[in-house]
Amino acid sequence: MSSAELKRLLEDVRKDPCLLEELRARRRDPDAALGWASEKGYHLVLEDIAELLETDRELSDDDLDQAAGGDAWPPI
Amino acid sequence: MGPASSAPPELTCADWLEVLEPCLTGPIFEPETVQRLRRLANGLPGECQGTLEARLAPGAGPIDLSVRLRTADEARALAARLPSASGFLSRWAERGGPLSPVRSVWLEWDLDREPDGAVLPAPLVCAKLPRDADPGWLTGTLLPALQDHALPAGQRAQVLACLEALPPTATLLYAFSLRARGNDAVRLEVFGLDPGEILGYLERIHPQSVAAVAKVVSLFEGVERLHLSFDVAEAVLPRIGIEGSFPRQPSREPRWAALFERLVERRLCSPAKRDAALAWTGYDTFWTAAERWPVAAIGPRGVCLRTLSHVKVVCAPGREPEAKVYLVFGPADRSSDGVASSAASRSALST
Repeated sequence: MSSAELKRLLEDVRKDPCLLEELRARRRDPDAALGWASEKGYHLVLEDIAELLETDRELSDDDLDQAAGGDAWPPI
Repeated sequence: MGPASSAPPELTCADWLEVLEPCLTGPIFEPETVQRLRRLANGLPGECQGTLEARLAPGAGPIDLSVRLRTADEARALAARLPSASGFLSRWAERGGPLSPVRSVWLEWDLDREPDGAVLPAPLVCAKLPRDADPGWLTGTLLPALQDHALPAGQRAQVLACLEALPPTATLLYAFSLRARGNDAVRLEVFGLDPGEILGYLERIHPQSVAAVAKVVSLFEGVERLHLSFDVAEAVLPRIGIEGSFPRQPSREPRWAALFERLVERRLCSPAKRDAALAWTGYDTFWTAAERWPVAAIGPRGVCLRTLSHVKVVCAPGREPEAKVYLVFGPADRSSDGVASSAASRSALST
């Protein structure tokens, strides 16, 4: 379950595209993301940052095929 | 702040429709149909995958909504809110009970008119069957549970005759109750017939439909997964559906485009809807849809998938064939999260 402070950041990010872009620029660097959040007044811990950055994943065509049923039986 | 007020809001199917909002546009989606979908989806759980059923003919048309229940918890939660299906769902949720062989349950709502009030309307109920389901269990246990009454003798005999006529390669995959449409027929859906075998099978169970079906079955030549559906009352009814799909999504399977092209050539699908359906597949995360992501319910977690399920063409007497596409959306299926899973682990009751 996300912490209240992480949810506060996420709710603000939803409303402010600039915040999202600033966060996006740091999504490969947990320490930088943590420092940026602190500067902005969000008191996160590394676990919050890890939870957030873990969600930044790309799905492959294989993933989508699997999700659609792939080769599993029954097919639909 | 007390614990009750800090509980996260329940994730609903409408949350995923919100994430999808940029995709819910013309030519497939009209604003009024999207509003109707949202109102219904507000009462449906967000843990389940949903499917949007869209007509492919030119012009506006209703979009129907289905959700798939895979677990006993999901069944119990909806049983409490769906009086018309509560008996079936509650029995399915009994571990080791007579309905436990059912692998998953689809609930489908027709949205050709506005749902009546705040209560969830009655859905069609569809059971996904185990491989090689016993005909005695099907007609003596499952179908009576779906219908909420024992099958009349004539209907039971007709269902058994249809099963008996199946060639060895074919399997009954789904059984539906159509009571929500005021219809006492049951729908059977068969997998494992090629186009020629479909016509041969219909010749045995409903020869009157063969000529009409022969005109559309060629659309599905080369399609890997074919399903045949038909309704059974005291006799087999004349509405026949043929569904087709491929294991891979359109980005890696050009035969999807070829299938849609044949539908366009037969004027069963508008070119614009073909393009929209083929462009449906994809996904969103918090990072691609932050402004619409259901943060209050799930934080940044999750993936909202969009996949193409299948195309259906329905033949009915006195009507032109109707083509539809089935667009899946919602969270990743836990049974296919990129890992192989056994039939047991996909069981609806393996919570």
